[in-house]
Amino acid sequence: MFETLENLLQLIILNVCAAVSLLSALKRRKRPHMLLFFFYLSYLLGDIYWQVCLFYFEETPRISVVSDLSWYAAYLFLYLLIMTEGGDKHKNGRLAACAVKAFPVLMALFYMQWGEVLSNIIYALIMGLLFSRITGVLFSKTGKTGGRRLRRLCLTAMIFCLAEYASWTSSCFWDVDALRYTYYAGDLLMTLCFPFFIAALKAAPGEADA
Amino acid sequence: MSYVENIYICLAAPLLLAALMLKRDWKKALIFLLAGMTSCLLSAYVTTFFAALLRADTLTASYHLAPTVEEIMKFLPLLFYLAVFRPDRKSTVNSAVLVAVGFATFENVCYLTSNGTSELVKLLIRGFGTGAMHLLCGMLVSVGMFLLWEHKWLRNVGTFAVLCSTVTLHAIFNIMVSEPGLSTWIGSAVPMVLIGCILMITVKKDIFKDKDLKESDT
Repeated sequence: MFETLENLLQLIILNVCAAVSLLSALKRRKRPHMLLFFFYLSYLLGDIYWQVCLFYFEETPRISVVSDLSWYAAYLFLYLLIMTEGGDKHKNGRLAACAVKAFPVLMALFYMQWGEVLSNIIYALIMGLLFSRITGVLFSKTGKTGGRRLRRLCLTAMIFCLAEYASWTSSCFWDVDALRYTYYAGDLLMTLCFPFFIAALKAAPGEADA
Repeated sequence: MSYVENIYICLAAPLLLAALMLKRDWKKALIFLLAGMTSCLLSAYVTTFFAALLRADTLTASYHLAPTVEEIMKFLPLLFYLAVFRPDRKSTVNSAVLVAVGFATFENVCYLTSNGTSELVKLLIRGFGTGAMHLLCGMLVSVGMFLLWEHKWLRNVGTFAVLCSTVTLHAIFNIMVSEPGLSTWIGSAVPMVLIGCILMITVKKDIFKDKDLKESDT
């Protein structure tokens, strides 16, 4: 019951966010807003596919590649959004870069005990790219600090990705009640993060909305 | 049993002859239609191969494998065109839509030969629904490519991401129309409504006019 409500809430919030970002993209004709719309759309399609499978077959998809493709797309659009906003100008130190890339790889190795190998490798690659950009913006000491907008965007993306990892990890221990609630909490946190991407893209005072 | 290769030859022959005779832009349009039909034919083979490889039953292949294979196969002629001819944005958009139309046409003809032509309402739903879905996927790919054209990294990663989204959209459609009754109606109506919305937006806002999008607010 709680899962159904949570999924419904996520679908509603994603729908609203997709509509708002589309309107904003059409009004402003700016690439970041379009990329944000594609991010929402991809995530929404993955969710809808999952729910459609549950509704028609009363089970999760037997071959989950289709919904996974949509979620890969969502993360890639988020990566492109950060890059477009100027995330490519920020780099981690060598040690930090290794640590940031090692985290998704180690997690993927852990998840491979339960999930598919290829899917986990792809997620590790995408998350590695995403984390290196996010941490580059948030923690780099290169002196080229990002604009407030970019930092807000990266902070939201960081919370979103960590919540996703929390959900994935706790779903590996589905039989343990406490960890099942962690899964719901992680998923709920992700749901609540969605509107903050729109807020993050709003121009901060002093950053001209050309 | 219907022999799709024979159907393909019958449909492709006049188009091919016409393509040889016509001038540049018309020729290009017909070649893209042909490429769409060829992709559809090849998708049937590839889906069957993967279904056998993964030991998937017909329904699983139709719901999960066919959308992935079909969208990738549909994209291959476009990828060739982009890689070899390096066309401008407008040509890319038009070619994506034409490939999708060719694909949908061939798929509908194959459906007709397998299931008969007696039920007009069912065929109307099928024709418009499938046509609209393939067109919608083609439009989504072309809109994505149009928006992500500027930089090489943006184009490559973005195109892959857009392609992934179209696979999911296609899979949702396949599942919905496979169930008879209201589900088929809704499944077929959604792509048509979405295409209507896209047309309204493109006409009103003219998002395809050859003007670069602004990189950022900042």
